[in-house]
Amino acid sequence: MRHDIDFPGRQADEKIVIVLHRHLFIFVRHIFTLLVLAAAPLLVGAIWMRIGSFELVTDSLSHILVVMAGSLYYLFMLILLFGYWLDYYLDVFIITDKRIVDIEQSGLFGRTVAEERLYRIQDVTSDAQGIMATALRYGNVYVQTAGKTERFIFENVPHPERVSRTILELTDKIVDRLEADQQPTSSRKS
Amino acid sequence: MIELSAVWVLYGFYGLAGVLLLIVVLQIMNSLRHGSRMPLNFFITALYVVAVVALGIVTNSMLSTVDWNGSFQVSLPDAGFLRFGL
Repeated sequence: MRHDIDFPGRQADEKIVIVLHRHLFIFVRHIFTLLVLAAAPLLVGAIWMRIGSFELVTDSLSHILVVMAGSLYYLFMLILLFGYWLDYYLDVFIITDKRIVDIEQSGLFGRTVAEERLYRIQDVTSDAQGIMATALRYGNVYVQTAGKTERFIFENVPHPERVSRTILELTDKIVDRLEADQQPTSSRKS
Repeated sequence: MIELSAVWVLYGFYGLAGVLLLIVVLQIMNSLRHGSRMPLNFFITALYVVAVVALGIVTNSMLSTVDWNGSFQVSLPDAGFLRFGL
């Protein structure tokens, strides 16, 4: 969990407690799919050339089209791979000692930054669904708040139970501090 | 049999590659805008640029011997089946 990140609207006295990205397995799974997709045309081409005794004559139209199609295909694979990377790395869940921030990158231009003060948090739940999630210890954290964004979902984050516990501890601290601050004021009034 | 100008094949390729390269540029801008302060993201972006440039160089070298002023004779498949026996 890295703490060397800055985010929009960060206050000078705000201390970052946890910075979360999705679990690395989510990204690795995409890489594996892309590797299979990248190897598929090479494999099909090799089989086709062997079985069908197909031969590419240099500078023929078929040779040019195969080179061009291959080039476009692998460029598309690179674009997908980098897109997955951006989706993995620029999606950040930040928990500070004052609030939670959920930064979501969607597509090329979509970026959503949702934040909520810790004292508005009502309930925190975590779950891990499936064999891989249980084995690699990643899952979702659901944060129910009283604010505008009623529910924050931190998807596929590592150690969801530890994250939810940390959020609850921070929330308790904030609520205790707020109650302590309000007590002298209310006693003065009475 | 039709005659296909080689340079039009090249223009078609440039058109498709241009669209994909535009996406590449937008992705890089997006990455640098939101993740320039993250060293790992900066490194991966640089790696991405290198990979795209390398792919361009390989493609260019594979097509370097083609005479783009020439043309190709393309024989069209027999479409007699479309007449439905008429």
